[in-house]
Amino acid sequence: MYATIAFRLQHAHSGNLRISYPVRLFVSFQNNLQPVTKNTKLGKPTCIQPPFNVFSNATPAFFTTTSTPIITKLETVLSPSIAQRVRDMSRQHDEIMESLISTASAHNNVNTKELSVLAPVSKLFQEFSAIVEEIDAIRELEKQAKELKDEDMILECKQEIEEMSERLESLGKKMIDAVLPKNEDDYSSDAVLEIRAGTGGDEACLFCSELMGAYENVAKVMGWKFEILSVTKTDLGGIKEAAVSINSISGGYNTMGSEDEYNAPNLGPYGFFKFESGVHRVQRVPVNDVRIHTSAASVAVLPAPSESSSNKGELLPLSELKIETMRASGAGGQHVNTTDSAVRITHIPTGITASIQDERSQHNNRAKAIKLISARVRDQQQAQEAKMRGEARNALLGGGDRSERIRTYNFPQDRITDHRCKQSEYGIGKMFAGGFDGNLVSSFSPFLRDMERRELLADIERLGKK
Amino acid sequence: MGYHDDHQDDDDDDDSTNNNSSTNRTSKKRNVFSILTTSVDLLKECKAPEPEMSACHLFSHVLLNLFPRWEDNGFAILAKILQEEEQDTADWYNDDDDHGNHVGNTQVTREQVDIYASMLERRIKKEPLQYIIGQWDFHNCVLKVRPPCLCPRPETEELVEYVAKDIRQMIELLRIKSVGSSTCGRKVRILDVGCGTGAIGIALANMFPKDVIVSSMDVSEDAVALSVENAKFVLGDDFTLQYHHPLLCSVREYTRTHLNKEEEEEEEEEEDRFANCLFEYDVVVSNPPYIPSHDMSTLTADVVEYEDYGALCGGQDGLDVVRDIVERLPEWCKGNHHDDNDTKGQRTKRPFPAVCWMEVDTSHPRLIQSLLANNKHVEYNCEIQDLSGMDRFVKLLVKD
Repeated sequence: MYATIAFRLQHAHSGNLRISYPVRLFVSFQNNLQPVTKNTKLGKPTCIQPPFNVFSNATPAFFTTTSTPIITKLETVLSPSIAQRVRDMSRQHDEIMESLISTASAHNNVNTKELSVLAPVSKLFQEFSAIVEEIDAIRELEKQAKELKDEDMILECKQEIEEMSERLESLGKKMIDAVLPKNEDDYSSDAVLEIRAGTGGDEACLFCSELMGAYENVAKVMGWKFEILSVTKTDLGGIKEAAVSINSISGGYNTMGSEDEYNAPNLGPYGFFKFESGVHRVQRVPVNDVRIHTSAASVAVLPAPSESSSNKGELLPLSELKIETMRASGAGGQHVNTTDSAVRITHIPTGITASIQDERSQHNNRAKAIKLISARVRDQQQAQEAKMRGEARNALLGGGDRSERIRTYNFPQDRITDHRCKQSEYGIGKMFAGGFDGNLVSSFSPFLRDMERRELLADIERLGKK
Repeated sequence: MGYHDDHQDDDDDDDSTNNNSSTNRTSKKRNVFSILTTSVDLLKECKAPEPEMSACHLFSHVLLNLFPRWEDNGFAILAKILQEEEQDTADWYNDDDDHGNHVGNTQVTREQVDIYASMLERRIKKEPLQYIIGQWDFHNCVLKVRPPCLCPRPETEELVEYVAKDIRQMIELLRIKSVGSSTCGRKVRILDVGCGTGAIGIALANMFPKDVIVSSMDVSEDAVALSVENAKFVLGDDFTLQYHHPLLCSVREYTRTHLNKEEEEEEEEEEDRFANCLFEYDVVVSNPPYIPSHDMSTLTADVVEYEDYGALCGGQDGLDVVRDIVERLPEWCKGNHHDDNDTKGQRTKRPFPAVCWMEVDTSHPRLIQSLLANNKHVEYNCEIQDLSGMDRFVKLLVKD
């Protein structure tokens, strides 16, 4: 016989991390290992990772119980691939935690980022397992009640089991979210938008300007700063091309779209605007004609390192940049008084360039150029990372093929249709005008985000089947 | 001259759309595009410096109806129009149809043309743009610029950034030191030597409004007056909390050591002058005149004919003022400092060495390094290149 104990271990570790490391032991009654349950009168049972790896698909020889082992229960709520991923991430988390405990704190190079991604999964998995056990315990009760023909008891048990099953379902959903790969830029990066008028001449330029106005309103309502880096205006006050930076101020993210339970961070400007990348097609009767003209504007949304976020280390190192000014030749300094302060920056490793000349002072031109080039470099980095992961870089997962037509704005019908999520909204003027709900971005982003989740899920499935 | 032709047109100012079917671009239309392109041609003809950019800056400054605010940076929009003209994509500017209120086709009034014309005349005489317009951007400020004060250069913006980096560390160190005491960290004390327009000191005060107190000095009365004006313009009416009234004196004069005991009367006067000055600066920053005298003849007219000679030339090797500064540094930067908030008048030791940052001629870093080789009080720290890759800035440390 083995002793029966259920307890909870708490480790205070290096003063910074406080880990709640639940522990669970098994009871063996005549070689019949049973998980400690409520009936064992020892308080609430919690889960531990026993010395053997209970999360592998192989069932240890002696682990035969009367109740169904936890392993298969995950699959009732999740697909096999997702379930596997949950287990893998949980195990990874627990392994890291174990190594933290066993090694001296001075030698720890904890990857806190990795840990923060794994921790929610592990926590949810434990919650899940705990509930499964409770269900088992109640089933036992139910069985006994049936034998005793205690109708009330049976009903109670059934109700409890139903309740528990619902909780399992909701946990399942949360596990899916926790397990999906998250693009860090979605939460911590600012956005640089590059808007360009496409086919359609004057009309396209006019639309560009309106589109930019719409984005400015959205940024304003989200409490973000909208700064023009460079702009080329043409006739009728239209915009031929423009680069704009949208910054979150003082590290404060907006409060919308929060999934509060495990404090998932909120989207930053990049994550919020990223689905705007692509070609926006316009059908409209222009001022000086009666026929409908078709024009287009292309938008590219690039992730820019945020000055307000804590990861300042993401800014491009100066050693990788070649900065050129107009004062290249001659003595410079007090010798010369030129007001041409254009700045061009080249990112040496990638060859990407950015040049700004719209400001009077070199200082301001330089600041804007750094912003622009950081965004462009980060954008290319992202594309490469996605490529390495084997993910198709489609317009959905953040600005892939910029020539893909994503939306049509039909002004005669006052309708905007997004071709990716196949949604149509009416009231173009209202959407352009801003407002927290029903603005140009927020009208479509929930659908697009849903599609993105499904795509990411599908990716995991594909990988799981290999 | 091309642009005068436009004057011979209609006499009234409210120009309605000209329905002449002339297709000649330089015809009698008085719109932004035609005036802009004509004036560029004119400036080129008269060998004015930077013809295209000059036209854009001056013209946009006149077109207040199109570009009402300084921040609109109208010059950039005009510059793009000129670029299109080069690429020959600006056909629509010739249309007779009134496209409404877009930039190139906007009509220009007679008054605007007159004002612009007088500005162009000054530019043809090689006057700096900053003087003609009267103000310019510098770092995070807009500064009034008037002759003969030196027009702030982009290199000096870089200097501000390097100094700012040190100031940030100093603020932090002072804050740490004050933890546990009843007073909060004192302000960082800065001395801007040869302040000119006030650019450096004011930019720093603007960056660290609550954490620095700037003193400044110049030998030119114009500079002192302009610095005060700019301090008020940028920092507001209560600028004296951050920016002391600049002193009218030279580097040599700014001292309390009186070597000449014969002139006792003057001694007392000087005593009065600097009685309230705390010679305990943490940062001494300067863009002193540093051009060697033999280089002065190589300068272009727009510099040498308009900007103050005294603000440019630093003597034979350009190091006259730099040497004076080096000599004064130990006296200016005493290490035991007063805590502004400490009413007992106690002195505490500065938790970092005082620094001196200067913008200099490219030839100077090596010379300054050897100058300081045997100096017990001032130590050469490093030199830094500007964005053009030239040696431009030196950092010195003042040892206690």
